Amino acid sequence: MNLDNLFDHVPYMAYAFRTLSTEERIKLEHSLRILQRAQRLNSVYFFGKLEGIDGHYTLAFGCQGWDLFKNRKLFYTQNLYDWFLLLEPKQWSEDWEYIRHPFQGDPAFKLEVDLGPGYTLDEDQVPIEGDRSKFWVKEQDRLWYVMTRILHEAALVPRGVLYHSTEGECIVNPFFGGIDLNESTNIVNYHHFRKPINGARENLLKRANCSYFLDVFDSADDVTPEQKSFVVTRDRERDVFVLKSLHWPGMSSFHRVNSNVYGFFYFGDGRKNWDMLFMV
Amino acid sequence: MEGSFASSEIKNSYLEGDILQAKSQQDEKRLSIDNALINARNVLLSHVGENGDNLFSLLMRLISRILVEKPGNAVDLFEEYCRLVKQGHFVHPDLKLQDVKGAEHERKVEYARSVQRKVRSLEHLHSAPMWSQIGFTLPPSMDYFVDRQMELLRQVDGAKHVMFWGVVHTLSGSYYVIEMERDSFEAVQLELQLSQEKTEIARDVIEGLLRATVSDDTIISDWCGAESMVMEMIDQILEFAIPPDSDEQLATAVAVPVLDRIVEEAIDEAQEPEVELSMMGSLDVISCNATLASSDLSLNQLKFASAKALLEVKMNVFRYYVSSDPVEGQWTELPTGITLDKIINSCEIKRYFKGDLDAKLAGGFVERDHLRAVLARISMDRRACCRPSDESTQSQRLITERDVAIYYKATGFRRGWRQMNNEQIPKSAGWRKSDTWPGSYAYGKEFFIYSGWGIEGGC
Repeated sequence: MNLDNLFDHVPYMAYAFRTLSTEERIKLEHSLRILQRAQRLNSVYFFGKLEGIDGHYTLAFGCQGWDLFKNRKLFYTQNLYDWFLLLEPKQWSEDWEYIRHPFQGDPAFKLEVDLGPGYTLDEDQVPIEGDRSKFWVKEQDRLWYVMTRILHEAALVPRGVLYHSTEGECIVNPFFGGIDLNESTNIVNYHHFRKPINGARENLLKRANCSYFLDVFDSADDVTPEQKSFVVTRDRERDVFVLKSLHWPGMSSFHRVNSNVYGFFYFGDGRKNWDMLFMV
Repeated sequence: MEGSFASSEIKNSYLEGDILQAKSQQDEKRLSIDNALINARNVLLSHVGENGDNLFSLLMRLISRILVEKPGNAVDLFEEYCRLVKQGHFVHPDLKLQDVKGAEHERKVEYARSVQRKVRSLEHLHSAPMWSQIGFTLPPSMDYFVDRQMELLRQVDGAKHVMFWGVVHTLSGSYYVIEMERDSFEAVQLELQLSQEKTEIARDVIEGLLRATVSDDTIISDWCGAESMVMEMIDQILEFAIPPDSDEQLATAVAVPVLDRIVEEAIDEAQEPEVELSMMGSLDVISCNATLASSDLSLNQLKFASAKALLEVKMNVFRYYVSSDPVEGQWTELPTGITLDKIINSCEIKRYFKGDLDAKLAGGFVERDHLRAVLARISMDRRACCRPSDESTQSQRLITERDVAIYYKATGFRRGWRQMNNEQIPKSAGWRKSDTWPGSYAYGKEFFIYSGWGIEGGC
């Protein structure tokens, strides 16, 4: 949620049963403003809260230029005053996604992870137990990883918010006027908030009447299981749609029909739900 | 002199050849349509306006906008489109960036700093419990409908205490849950329309039955015997207390206060090995005493079994009302008759709720029964969050520390609560969260909220 309209959009978080207390709002609004100044950021987004055992992290990210995904900076704070930059660790692996242990709440905490033995198949297709995969992870690094993954996999915006400009930048479309009621119910009309990875051809072919500038982005139906990875609910009174991710419990995106009200936020414990396929 | 002249002549002729060659290449290039487009683009790009925008991107935006919006009257409003695209679209980055660094923004930042100083100075003040402190809230206008429904339920006969229990997310929305604690005894008197006299008789007989069973050492020699006997006993109680035309739930409620008192007395009497069931974890004493005389053993086990039966009865004093749409939909009362066995069975299902109370689940369960069991588990987990030292209001609560201890002993569930401590929620605020049920929060002893998927957590 963009800092510029964070205050106006907090009531929409209530459709996902979430809110920020007055104290949090005041502190966030002002400390993010100062952060924007200090880091010379073009735009700042509030991302959410990640609960640990002994404490929690409040997360935000900012963009230096107009491009939303180029040189994006991730930040966290524990007291809502002092923001710290999350840097990409020198070494990280996709295995971090499988860590089941909750966050401790201390950025300097080092966690010993044991993911159990790996298995390989011999010539008779009999699994052979391999070495146990054990490693140490610093919580700050894991925080960077988890935040990046959630933004990559579960942050959604309605189609038309992201705009691929003629200069090749991914920017926010200032003309976005919302998508209508019928479109809102279909997950195809939501885009991942990320730089497209699927290839322009594939994305453009999905729609009969595509516009290159809007449809070059990855639509949200590419997450397995299709149509079941997000719970789409509608508030009939004000036609607010909320999309909750089942892969990342706590990640919600909202959109109000025919308006440029949209956003996403995360309130969770930073663990991916790997059992999700067996639970729907 | 001469040499230099000659060299410049050579150079000239060399240049000439170069130009000719380039020209012929250019002619070849001109033939391709790609190059024509590139040239056109370059020409357009070279027209740069005062705002730093160029003609090429302006036209591209204009065309793409017309293509995206598909206006029916693009020709009529063409000039307007041109104006909009030029004016409103993408103010040049420099202009806005100047603003971030400019005087206006400086004022904003200055203001932000002063507010921050003020907020820092106020932080030591105590804050009242509010849902928003833990980030929970109800959607706009939903709080009104939930509140009205609670008001309606308070007017129901026999309703002792009505509270908003929380929210359970499902695959098609969310269940809003209201918990009602019934005034067990009075409600039953009313509904059964038992006269005072008849109730007294029922009480006496139940008491007599229990006493007779407990004192008879010969019958209760082993565990199974004791348990089945208690069950039989409870059946007898039910049979007696239920007039043929009333339902089972009401009758179980009759037994609550009576059984409670009898078990209480039985514990007082059984003082020999200092068996006291009231503190958490003290049930382990029972197993420690297993080496004692068989009569003592059976007595303790009998007490445990009857305490379990009593707990089940008590759990059914709580009724749950559920609605997935409080504005237009109906509130449904979840079925009663929850037992510890049902609760243990419900652990097998680890699935999201479907959002339809009549939906069939694996293993022959129906969603409403499963939901009831999960609500009971979360509710019991809440009661486990109070520390043993908080004894002041214990006497008024229906489910006591002893019941909680029996519940965990009988089911073998994990439990754990953690004080929430961070800058936003200082320890003094007293919010706690459950380790076993993510989304379950407690404030003090009487203030609970749940907002989650109804899935047990853990690592």
